[in-house]
Amino acid sequence: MVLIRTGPILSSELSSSAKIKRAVSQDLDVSAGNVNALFYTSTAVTVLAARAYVTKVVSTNAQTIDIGITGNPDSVVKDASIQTQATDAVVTLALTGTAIAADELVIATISTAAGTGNVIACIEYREND
Amino acid sequence: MPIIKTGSVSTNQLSTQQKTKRAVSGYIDTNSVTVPVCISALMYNSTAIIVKKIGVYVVDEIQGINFVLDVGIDGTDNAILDGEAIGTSVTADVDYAFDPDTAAVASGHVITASTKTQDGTGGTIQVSIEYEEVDT
Repeated sequence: MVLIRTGPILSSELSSSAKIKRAVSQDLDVSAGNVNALFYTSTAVTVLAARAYVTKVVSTNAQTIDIGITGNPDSVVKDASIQTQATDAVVTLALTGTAIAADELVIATISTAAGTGNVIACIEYREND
Repeated sequence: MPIIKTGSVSTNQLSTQQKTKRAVSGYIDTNSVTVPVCISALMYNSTAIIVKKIGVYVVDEIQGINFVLDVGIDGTDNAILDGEAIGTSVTADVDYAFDPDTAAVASGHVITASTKTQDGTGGTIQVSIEYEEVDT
């Protein structure tokens, strides 16, 4: 007897790398408290990792970044420090939460605007199914 | 005898379309007067990937001469695409497709696009890539 699969393949059945999806923000000015959208999600997702890529040297002030959703902008990353970073640095952002419900817009926010510099927020995530 | 699959589905078991993933940069200013070198990030990848194709979308017409593009990792790097000439002047909203010079990218990097030779006086582009995961 041959077992024939008739249903779709779920994210949970994919290999670790195959299930990864990715998104980035636009360039965020740390002096201006910029907010930017990474993506809209019609489905629930789980965030796996977050990084900030420095496109312009960030000064020695107390700049921080949040990642979350509209209405709860620090649900994934809360006040992660990005101060004193050289251009091209890749800063690991600690996850304070990973779950994002369906029908949300994922955003990155400079939560403490100070000094000078620019960063791009990057995340990896997978579908919840 | 039943065939029971116990492992996860890897990238190479997906169809060509299903295994394709995509990323796009932010705006890259090709105006050397405004920005000497402009870098933007396409994504952070915790896993090794293979870049399949690179596209350039011209948001605003490139004006000036000898605009050349690099795509690589972690900054002004040319590991993926080295000094691709985009042209002296192009009409807005035109796209290009390039094969990567080197397709393999190790894990733990940010994929970046940057202006290499930037003698322009105006213009904005976005760089997009198609890629696959490296898994078996």
